[in-house]
Amino acid sequence: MRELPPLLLPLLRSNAVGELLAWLYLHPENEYSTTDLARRTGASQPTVSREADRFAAAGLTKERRHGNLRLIRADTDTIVAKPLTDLLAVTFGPAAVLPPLLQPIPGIEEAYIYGSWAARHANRPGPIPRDVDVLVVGSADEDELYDAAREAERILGREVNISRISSASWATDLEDPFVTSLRSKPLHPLIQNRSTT
Amino acid sequence: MLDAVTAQLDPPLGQALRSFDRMRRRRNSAEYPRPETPEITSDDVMQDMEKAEQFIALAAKVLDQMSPY
Repeated sequence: MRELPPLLLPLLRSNAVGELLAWLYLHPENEYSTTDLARRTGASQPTVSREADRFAAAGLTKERRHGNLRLIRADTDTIVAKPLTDLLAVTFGPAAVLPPLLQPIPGIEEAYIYGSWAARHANRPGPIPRDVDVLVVGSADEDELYDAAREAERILGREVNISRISSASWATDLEDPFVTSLRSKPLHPLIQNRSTT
Repeated sequence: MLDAVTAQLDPPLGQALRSFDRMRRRRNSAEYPRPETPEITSDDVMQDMEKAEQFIALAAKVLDQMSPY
């Protein structure tokens, strides 16, 4: 079945293309293997390889071989690099920018984007998201989360709100209207099932 | 105002006010609650009480020594 064009930026062919380009262009200092990109975006390995071929053919990426690995990075030395980076930051950016900011913070068991961005990512129609709502499950320090949110805002150009709830509330609190409402709506996973012990 | 005070305290005490802006925003959002944000729990309050007490202790310590400009 043919995938619908993504509502976050319908001029791209798929969410996978948007997320792959976001990882590459919003971390231009990093090079990624196709396996690495598949793991980070949730796209299949054949999809990543195929899209990477297209990016390279279009001059959007640079590649080098390291043994069997195909290492890919954004080519920032082109006329499209700057506007493309800006466009990716305000569309698919949250998927690529938030995980590396949250990963080093201890006490995060799970993290998701919810709200309008997650809805649009799940192809639910609506206006352009005004802000990015992030749910962190666990016992992470509020100040560290706050600093990560401000750093994400700086890169993404829109408000980022991180809310924290305990793993007990997330797992069991079916009375909490916030939890029940969240569970009934699209969630975009950033970190999943990480043991903090 | 927060920036001015932090600049005067930093170094070495600027980090002492790190949580202030976060708490200020939280208080604002508590006054105008949105369904998209979780309720504030007693654990949240207890954790921030400690930090709030540190702000007050710091203010008491530096108030006499800090000139308006």
